[in-house]
Amino acid sequence: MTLHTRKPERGTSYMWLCGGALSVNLLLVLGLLVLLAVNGLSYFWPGEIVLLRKGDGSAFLGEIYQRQEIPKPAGSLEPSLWRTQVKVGNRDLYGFEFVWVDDDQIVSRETPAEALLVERLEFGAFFGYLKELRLASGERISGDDLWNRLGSLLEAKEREREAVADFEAGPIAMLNRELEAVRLGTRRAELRAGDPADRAARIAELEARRKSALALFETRGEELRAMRESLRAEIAVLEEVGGKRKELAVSEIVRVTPSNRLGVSGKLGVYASRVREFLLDDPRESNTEGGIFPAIFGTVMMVFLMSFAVVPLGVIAALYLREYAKDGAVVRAVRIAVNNLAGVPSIVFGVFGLGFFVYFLGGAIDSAFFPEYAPAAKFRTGGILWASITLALLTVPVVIVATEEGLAAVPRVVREGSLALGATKFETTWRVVVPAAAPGILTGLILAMARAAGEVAPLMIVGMVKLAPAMPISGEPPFVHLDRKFMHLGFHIYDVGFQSPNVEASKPLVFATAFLLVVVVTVMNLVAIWIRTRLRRKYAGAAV
Amino acid sequence: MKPSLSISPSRRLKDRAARWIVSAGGLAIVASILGIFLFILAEVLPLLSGGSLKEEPAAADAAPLSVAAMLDEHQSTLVALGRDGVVRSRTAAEPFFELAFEGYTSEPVQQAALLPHGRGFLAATRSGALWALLLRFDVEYRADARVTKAVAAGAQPIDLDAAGSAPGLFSGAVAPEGGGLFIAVVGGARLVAVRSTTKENPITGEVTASWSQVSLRLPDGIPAGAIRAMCVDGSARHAFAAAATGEILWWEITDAEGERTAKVTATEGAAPTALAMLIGDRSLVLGRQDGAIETYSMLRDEKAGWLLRRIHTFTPLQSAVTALSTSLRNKGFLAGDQTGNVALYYSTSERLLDSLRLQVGPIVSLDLAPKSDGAVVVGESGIARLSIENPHPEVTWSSLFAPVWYEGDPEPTTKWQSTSGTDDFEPKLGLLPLLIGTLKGTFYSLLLAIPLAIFSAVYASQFMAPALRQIVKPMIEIMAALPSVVLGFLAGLWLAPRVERSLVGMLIMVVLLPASVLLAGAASTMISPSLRSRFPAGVAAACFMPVLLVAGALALSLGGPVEDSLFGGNAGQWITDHLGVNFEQKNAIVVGLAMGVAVIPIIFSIAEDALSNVPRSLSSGSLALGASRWQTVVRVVIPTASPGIFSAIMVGFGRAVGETMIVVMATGNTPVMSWSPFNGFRTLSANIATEIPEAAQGSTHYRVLFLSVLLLFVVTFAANTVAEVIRQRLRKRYASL
Repeated sequence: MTLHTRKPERGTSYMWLCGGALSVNLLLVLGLLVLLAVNGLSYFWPGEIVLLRKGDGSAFLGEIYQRQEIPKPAGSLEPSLWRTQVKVGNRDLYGFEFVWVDDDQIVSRETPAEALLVERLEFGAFFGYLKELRLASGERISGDDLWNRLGSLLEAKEREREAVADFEAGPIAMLNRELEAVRLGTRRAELRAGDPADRAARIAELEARRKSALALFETRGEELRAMRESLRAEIAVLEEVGGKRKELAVSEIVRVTPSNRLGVSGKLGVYASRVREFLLDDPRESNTEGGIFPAIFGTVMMVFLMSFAVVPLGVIAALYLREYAKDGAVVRAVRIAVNNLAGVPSIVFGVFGLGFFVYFLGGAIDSAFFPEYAPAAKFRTGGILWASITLALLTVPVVIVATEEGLAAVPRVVREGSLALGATKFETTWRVVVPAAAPGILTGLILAMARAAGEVAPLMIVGMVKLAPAMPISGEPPFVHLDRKFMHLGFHIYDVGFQSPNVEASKPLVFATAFLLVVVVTVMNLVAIWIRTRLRRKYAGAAV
Repeated sequence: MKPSLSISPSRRLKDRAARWIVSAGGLAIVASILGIFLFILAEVLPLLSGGSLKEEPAAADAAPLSVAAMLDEHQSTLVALGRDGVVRSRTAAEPFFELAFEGYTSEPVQQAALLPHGRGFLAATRSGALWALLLRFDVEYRADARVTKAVAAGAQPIDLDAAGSAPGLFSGAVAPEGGGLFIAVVGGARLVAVRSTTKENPITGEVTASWSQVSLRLPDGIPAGAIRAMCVDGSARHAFAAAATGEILWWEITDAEGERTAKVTATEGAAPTALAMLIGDRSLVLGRQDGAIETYSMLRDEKAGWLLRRIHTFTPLQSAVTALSTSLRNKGFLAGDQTGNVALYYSTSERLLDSLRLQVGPIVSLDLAPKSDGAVVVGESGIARLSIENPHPEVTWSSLFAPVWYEGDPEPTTKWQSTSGTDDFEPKLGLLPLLIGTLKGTFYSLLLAIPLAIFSAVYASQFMAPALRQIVKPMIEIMAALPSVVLGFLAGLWLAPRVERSLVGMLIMVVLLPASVLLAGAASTMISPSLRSRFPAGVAAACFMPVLLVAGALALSLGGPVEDSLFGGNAGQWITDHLGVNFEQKNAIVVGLAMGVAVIPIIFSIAEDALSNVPRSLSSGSLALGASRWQTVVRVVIPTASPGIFSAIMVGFGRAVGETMIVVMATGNTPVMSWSPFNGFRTLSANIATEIPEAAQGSTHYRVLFLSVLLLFVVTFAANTVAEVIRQRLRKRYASL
């Protein structure tokens, strides 16, 4: 149209408003993504360590966290004042981690080159200076040599720490499992009816096993103690800005960052190391520090378990709707049902899962097969199995709709060709139609997975915990533990962001977790969209 | 063509099996929806069942005629005080045997009363003495079986007056900490209270009891002889009496000696005949001569101080109420009358749960077992045992959805407060605040989402350039896929403090953003046509983005000065002071914004679908007749697609109603009844998410939460069904056009 040359036609301003509304939406999405990316990615970047001195002589060493206008009392028309929040760390020494400093009281601001950020296993960050190293041999190191020796020592200690963790997870954990198995076996033997003599023999045998396990425990415990002692042999002497000294076992140190001395490449190294820790390590300090590996693992495993349930269900239902059912009242009812299932709030599924799967099915399984666990529960409590099945119910409409679309796109000539060659309906469907519709099924599966990865409300009810002591997959038989509780990225965000004792300190970590989750979900969606677009294009002309 | 001729049996079998499996699978989807619904319904239905009272057949055994009786926690031991003054105990295994009290020799009993909470009996003997016979139930385990034994814990003569005159009416209680309070009408003329306090010597552990006597002064015009019923509260600190003329009198009795004046509350109705205190010591059950039963709650009035106010009236018994027994577990009680009727009531919900006529003559004494699952009834001509089933007495339809008069409140209210630390807490299970919270959250989010989503859909379907479409549609899909926990986190921790700080700036934005779009549009018409032709209307949305960003920043920076000059520098404070609503940081605006982001893409995609599927022939016709593009959209496209737009709004509504995480994280979760955008709320879904993990399976609380799940299910189901039916019809209509 060449309307531009004329006066704007009537109603153009409304059209602008509509365009404006759409751009507001786009800005909202982009803004959210940018906000998450900026906050989530900057979490890992080592910031400048700043030394602020106030007029009254007090000094603060740490990273600048944020700057803010000081809220004014109502009615005050004075010019605004600003204040700076500094993350000073040293929670064990100060009792707090953040301080507000009014900007007009700051008399000097420097970035001392020798200032360090020490990340520790306990009590969070330490800001200060390294004064001395005391080695196991009694040797004391200070001065220029300090830095070189610390690096190699930290590496050695990390290896040693891993060795201790392996020892705990290996022989010690095995003994614990043996003791628990003996306890449960005894309880089972007691509960089972039968020949009393047999029972007594069985119990005696278990008692012998218990005794030998306990004896082994003694020696193993001794070994562990020795390992832990040698782990803590080296001491680093740190000094905070006020001159207070802190002796810290070198093995307690996760990372020492001399941020002010690092160049960009050095900072990138620290960045990479922190990202690695975030993705691959266990959480520390009640989830507010360290990594989120168990949450990633739990999410992935739950999503996979869910996929096992959701694909057959969704595909069969879609086949019914597209290939088998005769168009009529039944099909319409099923379609409406599917749509409704998609529209039912997720919390409803969660409550259903709790009542039906956990209490009803889980209770039945426990009382039939695992009576020895009472009064604790094995399956009559939230766990990864119930969570996966609940989410499968929740996401099955997504798979049905996408599969249906995939099936609809398969041209009729293909089906008729197959039938004409003598294939049965099943053979046609299974060998010809379903493979052709595979991209549609895949799209549905990916969308379902993305939905499941981000869904939290039902999982709060059927099986998530703040901190899972054991992973759902482990080296102990039967290797896959469907009854176990698990950690989940989405729940992690809720839990650390809203239930943790120190919300302000953990906020950056939550941003990083949220960013990761959004990246995963977005990428999955984009892949699904990409597959769907290709599918549509492929059959665009072919559909008859 | 007969392909079946060449098909081998195994192939045919497979084919048939596949047909069966697939059909079964398809129908399983419908079945599973039905299953979810039925399961939730099955969990809710027991709420509606009443209680039941049943007479236990084996109970009326060869016991001598009793004046009072009580049960232990497991109902395995019955203890009865006979007319001969002997206390007898009986278990399932053993027949009645006597319990001997040190220092007490039995003699015929004139009158008796139960000490509440299974502490024993008060007996006035023929010789004029008043005895407190204290009991204790000991539990031991013999060969894995539990055996409960009644033990005589002591007999205490209560010294009412020096002259030793016989007590008339009397009552008493022993507090869990040990002290006791006993009141009696003495000599037909005086009302006396005797209080015992026990002190434990911290060194020797020896317990000494000291007794003090208090005379209770009666108001003028109410002689002691007019008192018809009395009771003492469970903590043994208050004494209550009801006079024939309807007044309830009460006294607070502390350790000090001396006279106490009564507080008086007049009541209307027939003469009172029975009084009892509900658990928690905050309300009183009153039975009358004509069978009427009421509860009175103590509440504090600004002017009058403490007073009693009638809060519930129950279905009356058939004749004078002679005995009351209150539950130790909840706000329920059992009442018995002159003609042998017993009835089970629940105070909060004003329910008569069940009633029963017993063949034991006029009821003399009632005792609900400690777990409220049974009772023993003593009548003038016999004794009866009842079994009680009463799982959910706390709720009725009206207690769930209408105001209820809770203990200690000045008026009926709707509240949600399901649990508390104490056992004697009255659960407040009113769903109304949660329903209002749900609607409020939905309203504010739709307020944002509907205009944004529908305007966008109109633009995207009618004006947008195809190239832009390739970017916009995936972006909106990503918007839909954003996990609500992330939105909730951003809303609660990032957005809420910012909204609080720049509330005025945000309000300015509401005006400034559309204005900036219009200005930018108008400006674009001024530009030379050659330049403008490179920015056709189809990409306006992209061009507006920087304009909107600048306008948003401008609005935020204007916010500070405007706030200073209009609202004294602090808009939140100003709202709290001037509008009378509490300004909270986590408020409905924050939730509306966050939930709006969640709902926009849903409304958008369905509306866009409906709008862009309007047959081209219609709009082309309109344009050909000379209508402008906008006129075509408003007069032709939107009316044709309006069912689809409506259906989009319904689906968006369903999503907003059920959204959980955003609400949990971005509101304060306080169940308040207010429509103000400046304070928080609690929705049904957030309430379920936070409370159901703690609710005991099968409890009333659990089932009420299931009821709210059912509500959510039904509402969203209805909204989605309507939407889907409309969409299917619309599709047909498009097809026919």
